[in-house]
Amino acid sequence: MSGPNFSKRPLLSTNFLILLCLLLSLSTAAQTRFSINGTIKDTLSGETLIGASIKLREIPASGTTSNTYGFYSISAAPGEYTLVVSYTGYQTINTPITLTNNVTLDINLNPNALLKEVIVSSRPVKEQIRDPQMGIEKLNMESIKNVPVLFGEKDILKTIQLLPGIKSAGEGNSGFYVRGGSADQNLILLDEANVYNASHLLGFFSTFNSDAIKDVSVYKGGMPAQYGGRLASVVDIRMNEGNRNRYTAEGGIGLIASRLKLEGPVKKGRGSFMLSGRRTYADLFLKLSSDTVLKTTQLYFYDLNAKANYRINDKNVIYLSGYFGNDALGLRETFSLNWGNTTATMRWNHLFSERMFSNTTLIYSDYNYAIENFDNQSDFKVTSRIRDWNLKQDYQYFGSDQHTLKFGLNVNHHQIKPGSISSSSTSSVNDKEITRRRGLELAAYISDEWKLERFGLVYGLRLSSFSLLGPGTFASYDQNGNIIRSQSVGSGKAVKSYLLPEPRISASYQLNPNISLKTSYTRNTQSLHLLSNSTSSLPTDLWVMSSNNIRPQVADQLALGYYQNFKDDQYEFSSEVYFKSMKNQIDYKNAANLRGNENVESELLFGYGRAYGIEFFLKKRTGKFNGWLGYTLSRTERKFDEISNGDYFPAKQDRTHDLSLVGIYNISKRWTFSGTFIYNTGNAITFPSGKYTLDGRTMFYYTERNGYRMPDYHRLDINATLDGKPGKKYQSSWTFGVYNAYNRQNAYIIDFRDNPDDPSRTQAVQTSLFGIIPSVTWNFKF
Amino acid sequence: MNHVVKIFFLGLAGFLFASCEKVLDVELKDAAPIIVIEGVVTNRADSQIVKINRSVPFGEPNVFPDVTGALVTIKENPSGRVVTIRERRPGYYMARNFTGRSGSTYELTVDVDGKIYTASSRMPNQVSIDSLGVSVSTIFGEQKKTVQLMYKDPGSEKNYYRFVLRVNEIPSKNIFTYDDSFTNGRSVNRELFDFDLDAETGDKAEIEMQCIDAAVYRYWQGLDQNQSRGGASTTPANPASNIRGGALGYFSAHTRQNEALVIP
Repeated sequence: MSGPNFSKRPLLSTNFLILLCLLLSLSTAAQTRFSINGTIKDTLSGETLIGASIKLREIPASGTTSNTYGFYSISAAPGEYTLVVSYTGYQTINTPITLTNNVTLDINLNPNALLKEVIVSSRPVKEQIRDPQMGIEKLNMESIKNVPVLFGEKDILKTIQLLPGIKSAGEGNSGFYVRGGSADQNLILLDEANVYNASHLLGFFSTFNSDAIKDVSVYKGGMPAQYGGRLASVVDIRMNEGNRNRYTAEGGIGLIASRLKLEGPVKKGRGSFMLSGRRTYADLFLKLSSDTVLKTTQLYFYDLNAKANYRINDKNVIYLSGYFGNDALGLRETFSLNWGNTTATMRWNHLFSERMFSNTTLIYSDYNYAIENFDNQSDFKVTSRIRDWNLKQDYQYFGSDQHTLKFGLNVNHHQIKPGSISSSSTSSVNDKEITRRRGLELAAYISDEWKLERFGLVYGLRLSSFSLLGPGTFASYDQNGNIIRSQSVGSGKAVKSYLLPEPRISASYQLNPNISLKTSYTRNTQSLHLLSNSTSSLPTDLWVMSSNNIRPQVADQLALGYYQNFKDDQYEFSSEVYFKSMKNQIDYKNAANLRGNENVESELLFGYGRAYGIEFFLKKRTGKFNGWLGYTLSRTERKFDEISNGDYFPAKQDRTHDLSLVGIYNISKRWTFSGTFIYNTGNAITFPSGKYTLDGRTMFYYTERNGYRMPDYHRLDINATLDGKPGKKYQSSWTFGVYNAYNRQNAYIIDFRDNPDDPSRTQAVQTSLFGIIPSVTWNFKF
Repeated sequence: MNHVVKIFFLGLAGFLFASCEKVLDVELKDAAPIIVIEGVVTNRADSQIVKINRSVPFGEPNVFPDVTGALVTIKENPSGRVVTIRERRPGYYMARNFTGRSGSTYELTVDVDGKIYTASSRMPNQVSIDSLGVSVSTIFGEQKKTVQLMYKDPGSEKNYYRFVLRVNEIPSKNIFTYDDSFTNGRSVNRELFDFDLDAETGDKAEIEMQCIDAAVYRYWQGLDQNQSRGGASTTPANPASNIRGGALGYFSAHTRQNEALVIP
């Protein structure tokens, strides 16, 4: 599978073309049919609606959903039909249509004003039964508003951690683990741009400002073929496009941050723009402190999301979007640490025909950090950066009412500057630059969604390749980390290439209109790896590419699922069983030095991983009271020859039981109450089983990796939202929240040390992070 | 420098989020006792010492059973001289009339009831302390005095250092080990920062500078990484010892220089 001899790229495209022709012939062999196509929008804001359901009442098996740009296309033989368009939270539209030729029909849906209720999932009714896709969840941004969170700062990455199969990386942390994967194995996309570090302020906040976000899809398994590059999950986040009809402003003032969003039409609705910003102000409070150090402490982050689109004509739309975020931490005259992401996405939607939708995307993504030490005898500045230029070409072909074809190409150039140090002449520190690394990721994919009355199938193939490119000197290492060979490679020449076929298949069978069974097999690969040997992630963790020493990570996942709707689709139940096997997983040698080390690849260990489990998910979709109950029983293990005698050991993200309960209650027109309860088994962790003495200190002796458990974790958060009296132009609301309502002292870390009161004994000490934390936020919109 | 960053983060997190500590009763498995050997050869007289004892389960008091009656020898290479190290008190073995030299490699052999443990370490060239000083910083409202030392790192070779700090005879619990990957050939100003050790005017600070070999450096680094730093520690593990035969501990041939100052 890894191809050291792989050098001829035509191989990739030939296979791909054959497959493409095969699939195309499948869907074009139909008789004369006409299509209806157009864009689905919200009447009030003009925002396009993603995932709206479109079907012809006369052909029950027909049906499609609007794509990520709101575009749909549905076709049928000539005749009289009723087009039914529905979307969660909107009034369903029935339009009679006489199909005698191709029709373009843009549809505006009215928000369902009568139903003042929160709908937890933005997937259409019965979608979970009919859609062959499994392992997916789409959260409704409106419902996220009501889910309580730390400091009242609503956060999409924390809310998805309440779904079964997705686990928090730590107390109040925006990092997460999906089905036994690690935090760097999640593909987090913001308008298709890869976000390398999705967290602010030590991970307590995510980089995603909820105001700017329109739609979130989370894939835990069965990832569609258009996604690739990470092992465990895909979180596809789309920004708002901006109100096409009028100018609006909204924002909020919270405990730690304030937000403001402006949006409005461009050229009378031919386009629109959205600008959204957020900044924390803990540092402003610190300035009030009498402590001279705290006064000079820098501690803030900001986010800026911007997006604009312009409809050139019915066939061409251009989108521009960008994200800029930065964190600043520091003590004046001592040190500072800054980090941030920048992403920019330029997209061009083009309609080749009524059935052929094309999107061309150029993406820039950048993550960098800088550490500065101002001490004049040991001053230095370290800078590091990872940068992508990514070109994607995606096609969607609405072949017939049975087939929808997606195919495309992707060229992604990565450059990593691991670290460069500069200093003054009087400093203790030398200037140093760790060689930059460049890599090229190529991918082609094709997949077909085939829907029959009871049977659905999404099958496809993603063919990826990764090449580590020169210039540079590339070393190979023996088991002890000594250099055995070093080769110098010229600019643009491949040092090592890998060819990685990734089959993806997901199938569903409907037993009856309310019950279906699904199965899927997915292979994912990952060519960029985050090196982090500390228990919590730091903004300075290092990304490395696959190389002559590091092979791409590969995961195979097999899943089975049962889905049932009951009580007129008020309730949705699902259960998925998964088994995942992972190759070329990374761990670290003892005392590994990952910082400023040219030979960092010699510090790594490679091994296997496996994860399996069962997830249960019961959701009440609608009604005054709604919410969900999720439960996961799972196991996650790793195996390295050099660790724990080469036996499987529990990975740190292994948690046997994981339960989350989310309830939202619309008590009256103005008051909404909500609560979440979380319970999980403590993480697997390494504790000492003995102790000894060296140079007068007590040292600890370990018998196995992760042989112990942290104490069980549980927590209750509650929230209340008071909406202002509905005014004409101006709306406001208050949100009150309590995090950790019964003040549970959950263990954040457990340390072992000599007892300060009796040095002849040792003790275990638990540190808890967040006790009970109240919050209040005021939101406005006009 | 990363330590400072981590300590700052931890302190900040503690300050902002009012983290709280409590002593916990954790049930730990009782590991069987293991031989622990700590052997040191230096370039100073009367400090060639090998301590041998055993590990104990976590819940026991910090009393580590001494291993008596072991046969301990050190061989110096390339001279080939073999020195028998005599037991001076239980578990404490020390050589008289023998001093180590830079550039020589020392081989330790320990025989405990017929079970043989061996190790080897090469004594590096000596790098000397040029001067000592004290820096003053204010951290979270408290003025903190930190002992620092200056030395000139030789640019022609790879150097590894370990520093031991004592204030009024109380040893710092921090492990201060450094290599020269960032400082090769520079005049180095090294701060020995210990958050828990307060040095006040009039206190006596003692610094021991050791030039150690690569394996011993790695061993101390491993011990250091096991120390928790606000949850940003690595998964702890037993560091790779240079002692063959299955003992914990290390054997280090290193140069040694001791200096002291009174905190101004």
